[in-house]
Amino acid sequence: MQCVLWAGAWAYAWKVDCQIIQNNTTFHADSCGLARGLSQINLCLEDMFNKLRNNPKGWMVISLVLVALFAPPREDFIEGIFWLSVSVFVAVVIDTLLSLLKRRGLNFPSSATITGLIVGMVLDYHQSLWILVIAVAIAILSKHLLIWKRKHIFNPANFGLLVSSIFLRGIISWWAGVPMIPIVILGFFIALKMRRLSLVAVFLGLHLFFFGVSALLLHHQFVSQLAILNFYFAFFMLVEPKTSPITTRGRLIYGILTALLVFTFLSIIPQYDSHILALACINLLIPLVNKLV
Amino acid sequence: MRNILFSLMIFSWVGIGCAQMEDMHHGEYQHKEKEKLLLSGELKDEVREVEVKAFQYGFSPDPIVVNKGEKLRLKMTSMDVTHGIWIKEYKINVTLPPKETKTIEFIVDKEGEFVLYCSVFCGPGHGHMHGKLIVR
Repeated sequence: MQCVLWAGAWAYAWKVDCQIIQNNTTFHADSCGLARGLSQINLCLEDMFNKLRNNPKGWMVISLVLVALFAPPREDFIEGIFWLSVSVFVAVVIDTLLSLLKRRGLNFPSSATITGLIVGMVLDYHQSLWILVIAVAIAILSKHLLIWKRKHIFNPANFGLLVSSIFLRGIISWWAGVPMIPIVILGFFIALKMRRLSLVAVFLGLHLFFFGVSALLLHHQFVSQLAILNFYFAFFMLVEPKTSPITTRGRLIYGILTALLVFTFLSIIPQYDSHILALACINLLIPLVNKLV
Repeated sequence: MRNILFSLMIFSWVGIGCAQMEDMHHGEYQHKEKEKLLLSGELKDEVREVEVKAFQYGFSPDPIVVNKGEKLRLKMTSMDVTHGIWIKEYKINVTLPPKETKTIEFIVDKEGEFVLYCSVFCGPGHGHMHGKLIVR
C-alpha cells in the first residue's frame, strides 16, 4: 500500500514538474512536487473515504471481500479466490457494456461487484466455470431488463442463482457462509448501515421459531434444527435495498414472509434451495407490500 | 433503543448457531475412522452394500471406496436434520429427511474420485459438507 502511495506521489510530482517546465518556469520541484503529490493523494483518499462512508454499497463491497478472504478452506484458497475473481470480472464487464448501451455515465460498478461476489460465493466452486459465467450474466441482465417502476424486480444475484440452479443444475453450496464470526460482525454492521436490522432480526427469530416448533412436534434433534440458520443470506442478500420494502412495517412483513417461505420450501421441496426460491417469490410481492403498507 | 433490542436478538440467534458449530468440532461423528482405503461396506448377493450416515457437517464413511463395475447399494440415513446427497457424475440427487433411511442402487462404471455434496442447506457449515466416492 505504501509502495503504491509513493509511486503515485512520484508520478504526480513528475507530472507537476513537466507542467512547470512546459510553462517555462525555472522551478525545479523535486521535494516540493513530492509534497504536493502526497497532499493530492491524501485529498483523493479522503474524498474516496468520504464517498465510501456515505455509500452503503461501498461498505458492502469491502465486507464481502473480507468475508471472501476467510471463506475458502486453506487447501482450496487459490481456487476459491480465482472463482470469485472470474465472477466479479464477468459481472463488471457485462454491467459496464449494458451501461454504455443505455448511454449512462461510467461509474465504479459497485452493484455489479456485489452481484458478482454474491453469486460466486454461493455457487460451489468445484463445478464448471461456465455455470458461474452464465449465472452472473443472467443476474446482471435481470438487473437491467426485469424492471418495474425503475427498480429491478428481483434481487439480481438471487435471480441468477435461481435460474442456474434450476436450468443448469448448478450446485448451490453457500460455501462462503461458513466463517460465521466475520459474517455476523460485518453483516451486522451492513444491516445497521442499511437500516435493515429489524428485518434481519425478525427473519432470524421467526426462522428459529418455525424450525424449533417443527423439531418439537416431529421429535427431531432440537439444537440441530435450530442451527439451520443462513446468516450469509440474512445479512448480505435479504437486506438489498432496491428489492426490500420502503417502510419499517413493510420490512417486518417481508422478514416474516421470507422466514415462512424458507421453512415451507425446505419442508416440501428440499431438493430446491429454499432460501433462493423464497427470496425470488417474495421479490414479486414487494410492489404490493409497498402499496399496501 | 430499538436497534439495541434488535442487536440483542440477533446475537442470541447467533449464539445458538455458534453452539451448533462447536458441536460440529466435538460431536460424536467428528472422529471419523482413518480408513486406509479399504473397500467400504460388504458384498451381499454381488451387490456392495454401504450404510452411509449424513450429519452436520459430513458423511460417514468418508471416503466410500468401491471397485469399478460393481453394483453399489447405498443405504443412507440422516442423523440430525434434512440433508441431501448429490453425486453429479452419476446423476444422483436424493433428499434425506431426518431419521429416515433411503436406498439407492447404481453400477459404478466410471473410475476416479467423485465428490458427494450435501444438496439441502443444513446450517452454516453446509458449504463444506463434502464426502468422497472413490472408484478404483
